[in-house]
Amino acid sequence: MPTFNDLWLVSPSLLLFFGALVIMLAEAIVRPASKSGFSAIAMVVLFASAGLTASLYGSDPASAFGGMLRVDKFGLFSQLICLIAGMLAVSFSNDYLERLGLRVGEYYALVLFGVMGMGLMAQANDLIMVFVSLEVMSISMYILCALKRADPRSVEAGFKYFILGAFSSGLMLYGISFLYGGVGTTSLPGISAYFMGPHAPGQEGVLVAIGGALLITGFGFKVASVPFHMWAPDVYQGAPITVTSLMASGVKAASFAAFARFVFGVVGAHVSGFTGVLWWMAALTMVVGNLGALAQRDLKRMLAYSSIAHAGYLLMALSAAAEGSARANPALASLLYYLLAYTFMNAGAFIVLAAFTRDGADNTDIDALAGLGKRKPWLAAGLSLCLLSMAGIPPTMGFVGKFYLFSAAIQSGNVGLAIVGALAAASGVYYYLRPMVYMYMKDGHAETESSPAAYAGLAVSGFALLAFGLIPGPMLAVAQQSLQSLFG
Amino acid sequence: MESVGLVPVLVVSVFLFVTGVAGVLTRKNALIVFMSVELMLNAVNLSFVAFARQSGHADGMIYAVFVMAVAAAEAAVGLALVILLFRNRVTVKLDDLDTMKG
Repeated sequence: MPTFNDLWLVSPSLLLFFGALVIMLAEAIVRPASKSGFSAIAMVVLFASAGLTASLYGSDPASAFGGMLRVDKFGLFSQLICLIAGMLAVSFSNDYLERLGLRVGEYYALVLFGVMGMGLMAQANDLIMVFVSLEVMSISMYILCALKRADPRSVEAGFKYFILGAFSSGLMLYGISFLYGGVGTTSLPGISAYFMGPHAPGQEGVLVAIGGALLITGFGFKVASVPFHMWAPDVYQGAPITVTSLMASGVKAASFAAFARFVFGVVGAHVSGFTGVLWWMAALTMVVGNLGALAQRDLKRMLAYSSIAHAGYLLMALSAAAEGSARANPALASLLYYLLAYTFMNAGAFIVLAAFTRDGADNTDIDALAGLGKRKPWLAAGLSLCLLSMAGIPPTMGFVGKFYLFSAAIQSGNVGLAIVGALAAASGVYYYLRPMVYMYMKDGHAETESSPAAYAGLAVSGFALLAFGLIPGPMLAVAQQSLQSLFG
Repeated sequence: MESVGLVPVLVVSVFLFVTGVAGVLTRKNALIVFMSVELMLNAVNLSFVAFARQSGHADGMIYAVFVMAVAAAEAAVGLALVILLFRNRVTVKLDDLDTMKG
């Protein structure tokens, strides 16, 4: 039986769950005119959940539900990133959906369910729990992608995401079953103990090797790393902009948290050849993501490739972290910091893109940006700041994050990988600066529309990018501190 | 009655799984692809149950139930998406899903 303490440890997720239920029930009885209130409810629930997460952060790490979850600072920090991604997505959802002609309450319920899955995934301490929470997150996302039911692109995006998502969970699950067969348990500490002990050669070793490989393939799909990235551009382009924003940052943060727990605590340096696989995945992802983005004229598609490139930088940190020690691991701390930075800059960019949506259709072609600098200087400034941060130009959070990622990679001896990454990132500056040329040096008259809430979301993102970029010390210290209880 | 050992069950499971993967990668009809995914999940269940019986722990059997529950949720959403696709495009051929390029 779950004890009261167990329930307290998962209270942030429980709150999201009940919030989503309330919205779903209210959707059935409330008059259409008052449905804009749902976004306020979702926002309040996300805020309260973030508050609970923050209050749990101070307590000692603990296991909940028979070891299924491990509520530690690493998981809570990752959960907080997912909640922030959710809040920023909700901030510009209401008027965006209105302009798309979608007045639906279930949108907010699904966002809350999705964010709940993300938070649980970041804290899962058992592979079965990783799988279940991943599905809670993914199934919500499949539906959200296809939310624009009359738009063939949106439906196509949802369907592609569903087929590849289900396929990758199948691979992952088969990997879990093989690991279970080889090791006899699916709990991460149990598997870790197996790898620490003397390796049993023969039948068992084969099962564990196949299981690990399938599991990594599954994670590779979820974080959109090369060679499992081909779904990302289509899905990101077809989905509603708010959903793309949540997918790019929240899903990525949760998947990376679970992946890091698995790689770092369980496999890590104990398995030879494993870091080599991560090395190649990281290098290819950085190169393919950045080169793919160069040719894009659709900004959503460009940001999709840019998100693949960012997954590459994060994989580089993971590859470096796998070789480090538990307590003071700069690579893992920089991974957390960069995930937070990515959440802000990604949401900010999408908030500005959503402003161009009119009469039920998105307008994310780069030509739409022409002349934005004169007509809407604040929107243009916000987008510029986010793009500069993605390109890694000081004094933004993206610069600090990239600096620590690359220096951690070099410290751990991955100089070659850091060089590949730096070259790829340098070519990325071109496509991040091109939208700014359109905004400030061309004339155009695309109409924009933004609600005060969307401006608030953009302001928060911009402020965070500048503040944590100029004074990175405190946030880095928090990220560093978050690792202390990981597998303590 | 003589019981079947672990290896024959695993062979069936691997066969099912490979059939599923091949189906997802080569078939062009959305429904067949979806069926192939379900085949993969059934292969997973079979291997979970086989391993659980081998080790004598009940964990694996419970996981198979988890997987079935998730597969049911996935099937509900997946079939809804197929219907939505058909309404929009009057086709369920994956080759026709090419509105986005680049």
